[in-house]
Amino acid sequence: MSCATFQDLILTLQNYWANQGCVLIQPYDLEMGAGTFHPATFLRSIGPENWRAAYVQPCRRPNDGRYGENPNRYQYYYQFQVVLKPSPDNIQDLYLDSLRHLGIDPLEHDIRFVEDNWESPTLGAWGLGWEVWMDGMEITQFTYFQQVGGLTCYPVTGEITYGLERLALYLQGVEDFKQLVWSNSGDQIVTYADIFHQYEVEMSAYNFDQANIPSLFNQFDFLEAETLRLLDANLPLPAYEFVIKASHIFNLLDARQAISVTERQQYILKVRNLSRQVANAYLESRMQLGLPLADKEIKEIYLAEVNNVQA
Amino acid sequence: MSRHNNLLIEIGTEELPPKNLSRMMNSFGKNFEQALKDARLSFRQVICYATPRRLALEVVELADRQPDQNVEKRGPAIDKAYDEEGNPSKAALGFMRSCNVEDISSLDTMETKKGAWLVYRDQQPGIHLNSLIDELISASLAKLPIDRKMRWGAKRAEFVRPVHWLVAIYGTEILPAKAFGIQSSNLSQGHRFMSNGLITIPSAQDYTSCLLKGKVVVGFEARKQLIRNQLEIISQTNSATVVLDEDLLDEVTSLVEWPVALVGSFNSTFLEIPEEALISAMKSHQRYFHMVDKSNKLLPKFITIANIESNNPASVIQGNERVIAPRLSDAVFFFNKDKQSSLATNLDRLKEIIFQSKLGTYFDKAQRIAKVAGFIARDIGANPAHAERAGLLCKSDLVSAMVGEFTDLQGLMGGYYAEHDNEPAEVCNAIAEHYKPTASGANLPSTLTGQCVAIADKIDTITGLFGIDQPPTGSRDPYAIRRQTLGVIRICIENKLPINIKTLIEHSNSIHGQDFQSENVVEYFIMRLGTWYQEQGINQDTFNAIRLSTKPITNLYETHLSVGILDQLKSESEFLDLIATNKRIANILKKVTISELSVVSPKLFVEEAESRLANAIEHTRLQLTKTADFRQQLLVLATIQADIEQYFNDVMVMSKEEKLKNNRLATMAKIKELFLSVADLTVLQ
Repeated sequence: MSCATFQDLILTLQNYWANQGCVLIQPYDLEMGAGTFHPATFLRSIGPENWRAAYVQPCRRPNDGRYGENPNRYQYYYQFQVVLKPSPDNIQDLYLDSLRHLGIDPLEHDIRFVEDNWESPTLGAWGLGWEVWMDGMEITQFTYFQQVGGLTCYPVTGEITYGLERLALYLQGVEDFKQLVWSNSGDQIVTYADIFHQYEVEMSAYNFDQANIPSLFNQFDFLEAETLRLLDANLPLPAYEFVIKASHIFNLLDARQAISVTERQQYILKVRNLSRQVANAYLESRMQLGLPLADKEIKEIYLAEVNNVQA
Repeated sequence: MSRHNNLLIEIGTEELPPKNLSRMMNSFGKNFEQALKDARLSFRQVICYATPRRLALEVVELADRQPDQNVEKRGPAIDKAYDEEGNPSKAALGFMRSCNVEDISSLDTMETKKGAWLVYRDQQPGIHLNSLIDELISASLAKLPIDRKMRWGAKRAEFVRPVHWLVAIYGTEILPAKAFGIQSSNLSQGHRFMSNGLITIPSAQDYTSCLLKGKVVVGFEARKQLIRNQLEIISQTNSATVVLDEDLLDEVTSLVEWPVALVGSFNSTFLEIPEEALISAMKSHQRYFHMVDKSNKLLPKFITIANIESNNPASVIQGNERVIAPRLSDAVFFFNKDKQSSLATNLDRLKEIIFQSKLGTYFDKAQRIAKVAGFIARDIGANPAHAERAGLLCKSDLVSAMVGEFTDLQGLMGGYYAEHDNEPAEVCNAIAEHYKPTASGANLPSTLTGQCVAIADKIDTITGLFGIDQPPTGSRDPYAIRRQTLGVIRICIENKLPINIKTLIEHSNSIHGQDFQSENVVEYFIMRLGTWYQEQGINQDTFNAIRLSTKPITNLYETHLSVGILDQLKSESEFLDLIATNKRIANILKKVTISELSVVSPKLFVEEAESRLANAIEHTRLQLTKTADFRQQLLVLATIQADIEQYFNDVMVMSKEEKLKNNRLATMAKIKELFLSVADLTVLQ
C-alpha cells in the first residue's frame, strides 16, 4: 500500500488533485459540519465562474460524538473535499483513478455508486449523486450541485468528499479509528488515538453535557443579527462567516437536545434564510467584479438566464 | 415497400437511482411503443433492458419506414366548380391552391348519392425511420418517471443522471441519431472494472451476448433470477433460509451489473437485541439479505450482492463485516439508550411532534386513540383497560432513538419497550401490531386488543383528515387514507368484528370535538368497500344490490356475509325469475314519479290476483320482520314470486282507467319498496 499512514493519504490525494488542476486550499478556520460549508465550495458553486479546488476540512458534528467508544463515529473528523466546476465528463473516472493512486484495486474491492441525493436545508442547497461504497462502506460522497443558497447552479459543480478516517481504516487494515497510524517516522509511530482520543472524550462530554445552553441561544441570536447587519453593509464574505458560526451553534444546541422538534424547523429556516441572502449578495458582488473567472460563452448564457428569471 | 429489422437503442449513463430503475425501464419501453404507434411504424414487440449504467430497448421487426398514406380532400361540388365558360370557379381555384395543384384536371370527381364533388387524391410516401428516430427517443425519454432531473457540467441537457453514450443500431447498421447532444454509434461500455475498452455491437440481436462478454447482464429479470439462484444455493449450503424481501431484491438487482452473492458474519452477541433492529440495520443501510434457521431464528450472517467477481472475495467479505459491526453496535447503543426512559414518560415528548397542524400533536392523537380503542373494546368484548393503555402508549416509540434511525420499526420497538416497562403482554402485542396492515394484503393484527388499537389509530386519522377537509385525492394522499380505510375494512371483515362503522365514525368525530361531519366518511368507507370487492374479483353488481337497499350499511362484516350469500344465490334459477320480476317492475315504474302514487286501495281491486298479491305483500313484510338473517330474508322474498307472476298473467297494470292504473302502480311501488328493504335485485346481471 502506498498509504501506510493517515498523512500519506492526505498527501497522495493532494498531489493527485493538484495534478488535475485543483487549487490546494487550506482548511477553513471556523467550526463547520462539512467541507461543503467552506467558502471554496459553498460560495464558489454560485454563479458562472470556473473553479477547481481541493482541501482537507475538519468537520464537527456534535451529535455524532460517542465519547471515543464507537470504532468509526466521531464528532470531529476529517473530510477531503474536491470541487470541480464545471464538472468534467470524466469526473467519475478521475475519482476512481484517485482510488488507484491510494493503492485500492477496483478489481479486488466491490466499488459502487449508490444513489444518495444530498440536501442541506440550512444551506438552501441540494444535489443529486451517490455515496461511493467500497465493500459496503461509504468512503465518499459524490454530488452534482443543482442549487446552492436557493440559486440554480450553472455550470454545475461536481463535489467529491472523501471520508478520510474510513478510507484509512481500509488502507491500514484496522478496525478502529483509534488504531490508525497518523505518522510513522521509522522510530516513532503516532496514532489517531494519540492525537484525538482524549479530545473526543472531552468534546463528547462538552457537546452532550456541558455546553451552556442559555449562552448558546444568545450567541445564535447575536450571530443571526450580525449576519443581517453585515449584509446591509454589503459585506457578503464576513456575513457568510457568521452564517457558518450560527450553523455550528445550532448543531450544538441540537446535540444538547435544547431545541424542540417544532423549534428545530424554525432554526433551520432561520439559517437557510441567512444562507440565501448571503448567496445572493455574493453573486451580486461577483457580478459587479465582472465574473472574472467565468468562460465568456458560459457567462453570457448565465446572464441571459438570470435576466430571464428577473424579467 | 418497407423492410423489417431489429432496432437497438441504448442510453449509457452514470449510475441510475436503483429504487426506480425497473419502473424507468418499463416506462421507456412503453413510451417507445406508443411513440412507434403514433409514428405509424409497425413492429412486433419491444424488449426492455436496464442496468445501473444503461437503459436500453430492442424493437423486434421494426419497419424502416411508415406505410404510404392515401390522402383525400373534398373540395366544392362539381356544379359549383366551374364558371359559365367552363373555367375553374373561384371556389375551385381556392381549393386547388390549398392542395398545391395547378391544373384542375389533376383533381378527381367523387360521386355520392347527394351529388358529385371535386376531390384531391394523392399518395404521401411514408417517412423513413432515419428521420423519425430522434423524436422517438426524445418523446419516450421525456415522460420517464423521474422525481428530480439534473444538469451536469456546463451542458443544458437534463436527465436523471449524466448521459455518456448512445447506441442506435438498426439491423447491422448504425442508425444516425442524437440525444442529449450525443451522436449515436455502435459502441457500448461493459462492466466498469471487469471489462476493457469499448464494446462494438455488430447487430441489434447481438446486444445481450456482447454485453455478457463485457460482464454485464443487461436483462433486469435475468439478473434478478441470477441473484435468486445464488441465494438459493447459499440457503442450501448453510442449511438455512435466506429471507427474500422482494423490494430489496429489486433494489439490489438495480445496483449491480454482474451479481455475486457473498456471505459474511457478525458477532452473535448482537443477537441479544431485537432481531428486527438487526435486520433493519442490515437491510436499510447495507442492502444485505439475512438468513434464518429452521426455527425461524436470525443467524449471525448476512449476504451482500457484490457487483464484481473479486480477485480476492475474502477481502470484500472482510470489508463488509467491518462495516456492519459498528452499524449493529449503534443499534445496541440506541436500544440501551431508549430503555432508560419508559413509554409512559416519553408521552410528554410527543407534545413536541405535530401530527397535523389542525389535528394537534401526537400527544393529542395518543389521547384520542386511547378513548376510541376503549370504545371499540367495549363494543366487541375485548379488554377496554388494555386497549386504552395500548392506545395511549402506541405512539411513544416515535421519540425513541431506534425509531429515529429505523422508521420502519415504529410500533415494533414500542412493543419491545412496553415489555421492558413491564406492561401487560396484551398491551405490548397491541402496540407492536397497531400499524398493521402496512400494505395491501399484508398481515392483520392478531390480537383482539391489537385490532382495537389498530382500528382506533386509523379511524382517528381518517375522520380527522376528512374533518379538516383534506380527503385523499387521485394524486394526493399523504396520510395514506386509502390504505388505512382498507385496513379498517379488512380488520373488521376478516376478524368478523361486529362493529357498527357509522357509530364508530361518529364516536371518533365526537372525540375530535371539532364538529366534524360523519356522513362523507361513511360514504367513503362504502366506496372503498366496493373497490375492495372489485380488487377481489367479486362482481360489483352483487355489492351494489346490497349497497342500494334501503337498509344502510353499518356492520361491514355482516355486509360482507350478505354479499357472499347473494353472490351465491343470484345464479340459482328461482332467483333468476325473481330478478327478472324485479326488473320488470322497475321498468313499469320508470316512467312514474313515486309521489303520484297513492296508497293501495282494496276497493279498486278487480281481479282476484290483486287482493291475493296485496295479502302476500303484507304477509311477506311481516315475515321479513321476524328474521334478521339475510339468506332467510331473500328466501322469504322469493315466496312472493308466484303471486306476482299470477298477477302479471291476470292483471293489466297500465289500465285505460286512470284510477285502476294508479292503484296498480301503487301496488308495484309497494313490491319495490318491499324488495329494496333487503336488496336492489334490479342491478344484478
